Amino acid sequence: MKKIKIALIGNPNCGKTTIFNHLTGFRHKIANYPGVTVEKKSGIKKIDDVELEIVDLPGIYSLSAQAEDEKIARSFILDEKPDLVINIIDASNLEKSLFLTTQLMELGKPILLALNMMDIVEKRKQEMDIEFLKSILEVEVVTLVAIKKRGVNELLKKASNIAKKKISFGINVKFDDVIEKEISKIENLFLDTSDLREKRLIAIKLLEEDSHVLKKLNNCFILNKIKEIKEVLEKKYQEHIEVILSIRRHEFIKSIVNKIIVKQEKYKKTTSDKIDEILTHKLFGFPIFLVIMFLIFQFTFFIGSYPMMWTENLFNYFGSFINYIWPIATYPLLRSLVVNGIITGVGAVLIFLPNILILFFCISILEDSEYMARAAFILDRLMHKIGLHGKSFIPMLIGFGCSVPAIMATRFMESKKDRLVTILALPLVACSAKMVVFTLLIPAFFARPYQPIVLFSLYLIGIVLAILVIKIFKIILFKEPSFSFVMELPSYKLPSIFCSILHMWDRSKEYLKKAGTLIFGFSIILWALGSFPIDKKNISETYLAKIGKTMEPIFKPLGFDWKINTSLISSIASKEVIIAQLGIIYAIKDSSDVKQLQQNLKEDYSLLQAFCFMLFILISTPCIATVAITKKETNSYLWALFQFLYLGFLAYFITFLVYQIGLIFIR
Amino acid sequence: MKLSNLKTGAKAKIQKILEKKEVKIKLMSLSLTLQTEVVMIKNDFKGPVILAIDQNRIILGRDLANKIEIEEQ
Repeated sequence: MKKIKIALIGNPNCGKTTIFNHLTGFRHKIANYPGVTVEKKSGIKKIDDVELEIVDLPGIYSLSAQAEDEKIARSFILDEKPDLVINIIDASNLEKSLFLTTQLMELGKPILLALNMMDIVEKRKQEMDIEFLKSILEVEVVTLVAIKKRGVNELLKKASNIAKKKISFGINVKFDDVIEKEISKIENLFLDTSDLREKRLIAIKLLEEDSHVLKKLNNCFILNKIKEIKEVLEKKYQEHIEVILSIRRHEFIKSIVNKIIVKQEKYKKTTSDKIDEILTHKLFGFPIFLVIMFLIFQFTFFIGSYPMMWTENLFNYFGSFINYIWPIATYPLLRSLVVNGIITGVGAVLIFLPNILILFFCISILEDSEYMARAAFILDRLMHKIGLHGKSFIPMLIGFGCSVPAIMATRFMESKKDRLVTILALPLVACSAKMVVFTLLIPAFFARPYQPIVLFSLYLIGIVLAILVIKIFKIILFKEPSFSFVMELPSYKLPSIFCSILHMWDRSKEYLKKAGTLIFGFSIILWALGSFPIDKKNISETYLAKIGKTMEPIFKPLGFDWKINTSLISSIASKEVIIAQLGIIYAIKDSSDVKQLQQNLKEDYSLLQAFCFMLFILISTPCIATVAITKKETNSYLWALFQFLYLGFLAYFITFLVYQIGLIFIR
Repeated sequence: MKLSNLKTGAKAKIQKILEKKEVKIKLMSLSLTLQTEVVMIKNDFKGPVILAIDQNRIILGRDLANKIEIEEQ
């Protein structure tokens, strides 16, 4: 069977993900703001005798390769050499969409324009000269309304047809004579390349100082020559050559858009603008934002407590059931591993799944309704004070769910240094795994009316610390000013419950995967450390206890004993394991009897110790998954190690202070 | 006149963008460049502004709005 690779590309909010879902039949989240579609997602579709591999690239506005997601898209097209690029275009917004198209056509791959959102064009009673668009750009065009699935089949057919025939390359935007002359000078430097398109691509990319092309070219003579040419051009135009090329592309687009659409849509106040008058109001905007955040956390904890109870009961029954059918005398060690190790370990984590699902669901609603961009607007003034801008708040919000997708969501940031600082500080935002530990510990030590306040204050401490850390790192490590704040403000959308559930599921899958792999594995290791040597008299003689006891001198000034120490070791695997670990130490019989565990903890520790324990968990060393993603995204072991260490020291220092000062007050 | 001083509801044409090339290109990819007509949707004279370019809306930080020169219309 013939295999064809297709790249799907377009602006954020052009309906790209919806089209991807329809094409592949695999549904996942709608990309609503820069940074949602962070990983390359691909799906397979078979049509006639061809197998299409469709890759969903991040939503971007241009290929200038400033932000990481632009680099990902550009490198994919240049290195992976797809047979076809499908450029999804918001037909109701032609001028903005075609900017990317002009750059895509320069890459020299067959290209198919998919004009989406034709329903809006029809509603506005605009007439669109598609034939003109086809002939002037020399490309194939398909029109569609993705949300109604209109035109999707035609898109598929045309796509496989173009990819097979290798046609529809599009045109190169003609610059003015002066620039064209210099471009041909550069082209002539490459005598060994016969492909005219490729020559032009290299010439333009060299003028634009594209790092990807520069890296591959190691020729001093050519580089010097290009420097000369650039100097001549920039002197003539009094502007950077990249900017001039972009201006020409933009002028070209403006000139053709006027011919394609007869009735241009001018500014008109929309419903979305009216909603924004309230939601981004200078006085009410911020309080409304806080109320929304408060409601989300209320919703997560109070609604979540019911399904949590059900799951807890389910695991209790399951544990009792195994105990019942498995006689104590048969393979006692294996029985202990299954009941006390695996069911306790994994169960203790899974009972918190409802909370996490609800939290991710709420975050998805915020994204899918486009409220996220408003949050960025409202928080810009606050974020500005720490040297970042409002957009940087979006990864932080995702960080309440999990640091891993949050770190990946920093890819849209234009400034590398801002991105690095944000990644380093992100683990300080209390993620749902930390929340899991807090929801166990808080009710054990604090009376009901104080519980929400304690939880809220922990979140607040995390945020304040993140802000301070960012501020300090910006001053010490990177003095350079940030990239200016520019962001599209899409109109509000009614979030589809179905999409939000898919979105939630996408992210929660990671959590489940963690429960199934990392936590499962660590449960077994911890069980083994806690069960051997076999002739132990009680738990305090096990290997695990010995490790914890060795750590006691270091952690005593923080109010921690060996039991807490051992659970902290396990927290490196994953924060949720702490609960499983405490369960094993206290030898809780029923696999997930939270009440019993809380009772035991209350007998052993003071309120101050419990608070310090939570404080340490909040700040300390991120989990393995976070360390791994930091390494991947910063492309450096050093930064991952730095993050790991600075958070550990910070946690030790702050907890030390709080415990020692707290002791004075208690006395 | 600076864009940051344009009142909510007023229209203007972009005259000059005093920014580094990366920002200029970013703005252009959102259809904001020299001679573009914009409408100020929201300017609280503190924090970022919201602009309309035809049917699009974009947020610009105050620092950036300070670096864009316009002619009110």
